[in-house]
Amino acid sequence: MRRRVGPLRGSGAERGVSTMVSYVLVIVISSLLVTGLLLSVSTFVTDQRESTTREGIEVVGQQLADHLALADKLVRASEPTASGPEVSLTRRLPPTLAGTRYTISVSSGPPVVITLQTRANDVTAEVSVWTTTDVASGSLTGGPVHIRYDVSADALVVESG
Amino acid sequence: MAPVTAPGLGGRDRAQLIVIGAFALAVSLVALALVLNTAIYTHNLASRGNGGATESAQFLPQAERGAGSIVENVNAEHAGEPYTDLTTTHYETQLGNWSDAMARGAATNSQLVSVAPASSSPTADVEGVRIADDADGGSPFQPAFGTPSDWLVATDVRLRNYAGTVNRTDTATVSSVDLALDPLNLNAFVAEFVDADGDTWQVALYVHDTDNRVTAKVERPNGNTLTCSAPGETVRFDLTSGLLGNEPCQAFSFVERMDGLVDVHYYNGDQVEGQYSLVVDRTVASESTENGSMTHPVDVANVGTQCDGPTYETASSAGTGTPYVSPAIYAVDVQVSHRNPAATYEGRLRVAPHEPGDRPQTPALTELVVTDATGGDGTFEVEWDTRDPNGDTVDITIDVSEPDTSGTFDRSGSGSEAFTVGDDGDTSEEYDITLTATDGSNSRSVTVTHLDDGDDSGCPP
Repeated sequence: MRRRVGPLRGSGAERGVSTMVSYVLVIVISSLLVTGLLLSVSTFVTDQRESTTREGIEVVGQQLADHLALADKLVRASEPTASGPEVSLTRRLPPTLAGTRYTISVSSGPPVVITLQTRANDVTAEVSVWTTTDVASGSLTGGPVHIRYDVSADALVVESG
Repeated sequence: MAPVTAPGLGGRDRAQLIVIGAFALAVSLVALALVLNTAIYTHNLASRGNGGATESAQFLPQAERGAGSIVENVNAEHAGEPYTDLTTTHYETQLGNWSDAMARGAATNSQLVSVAPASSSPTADVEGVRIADDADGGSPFQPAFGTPSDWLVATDVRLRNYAGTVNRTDTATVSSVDLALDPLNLNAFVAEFVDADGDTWQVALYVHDTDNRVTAKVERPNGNTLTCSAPGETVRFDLTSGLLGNEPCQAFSFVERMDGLVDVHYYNGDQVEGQYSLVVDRTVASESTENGSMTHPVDVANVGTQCDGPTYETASSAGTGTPYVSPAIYAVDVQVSHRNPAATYEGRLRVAPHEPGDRPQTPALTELVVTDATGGDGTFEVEWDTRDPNGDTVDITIDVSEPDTSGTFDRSGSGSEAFTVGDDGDTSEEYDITLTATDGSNSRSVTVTHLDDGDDSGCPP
């Protein structure tokens, strides 16, 4: 005789409970897992982005400092005259770092301190450099810069280029 | 079998959480990739060259060295020619040719360069004197007027490019040299440098008897000594570059810090044979005479009076074993221009090859001519001219003194004037005429001796 397969007879209200429980468990566990994964990945990405940005602006600051030192060297090597020396250096620095714009501020020292700050995540870096020639204080938006020697002020000026 | 589904949810809504989660994760990973890409870009940026700005900084020393070799070449190859020929004919032509050749080479590298003589300024084209004793095969380091054991080579000068050679076989061989003793009592050649503060450096050049090497022993003002030596038959010494036999010689390092005026004495010039040359920042009157602000005080110190040829001959005696003086370029200013896409430089460089220390500060007397028209009247006409390395105003004090009386006159920069002191009709009196040039903080003077005999020949004139 063929046995009939079908819902158990008797306690009709308990039918399908195990399916429900396992479903809820699956939902809860997987949402915990997914949320945890997402949180850790996004924290990791944020940290990475911040450290990359910091590294980036430090490099940019050092390159600017390098150019200031170079301009200082050129001015120092020259005999002062009424019109010179004419020194002008251009450096194509990136306009954004890790997707955010940044500002450069130069404070005349000594030593000259170059402070870079990103706008979005507020990462800052400071680079200092000793120069014999004075450097005019100022601040500018990140991007290509232009360093020139101002004969009348006897100082190096950093401008957006 | 019926599909297992949650109550109230259709098949389409299954695993939404996983899909959304996976999507968000994917986005985060893409962001991470971008960030890492930025990191790589930063490293790339950090290791990248600076776009040509360094080339400017490298070009300046190159221009200075090039112009410096031209100056030295002109001084050595055209010794005995007047100052104007040295600067305008030779130096400017050679500098122009060199600049053109360099510009052609640089143009292939996207650079525009030029090096040209700077237009006149107080510091451009400083006249000097080259002192040399350059007989083939060498000669003793003695003056033109004979064979004294000690003599003054130059006084109150800035010197540069002081180099020469020593022949080992003709140089005194000794076991040791005690520089604490009076150099006159030594049996080795000693060159002595005395600066304005009285600090003294002595350089003995001899052959050491055990290793048979040419040895330089230097005593510093504090009494410490340093020694270096070099092998070979003919050993080159270069005081201003600090080399003995082409090897660095620590003992010569004092020269690098000697940035004031110095006196140079030679002792026991007969104990050495070789050649030497140096350039000093004083002048001679012309290419055909040894007289001038450089030789007057030297002659006065060596023989008591200044006359043609006591200490030095002119360049016509080059190569005879007699030391000679010739007009030379001490320093020049060059206008240097260097342009490339990342940098523009246009400036003036001072070129004084192998000059130790900082640039000179002391004014120089570039002309001093004393004429005596009438004997016994105590009147001498003095013509003078000065130059200050910083372009400062130069004040001149003229002291005229004779055995009975003296007079002091304050004048400025350049001029020509007759001064009368002690008009007593005595034609046998010797007059010392001293000109002191000062810019306020630095001064330098020259004394000449004349006889009130109404002519400018003889000795004293």
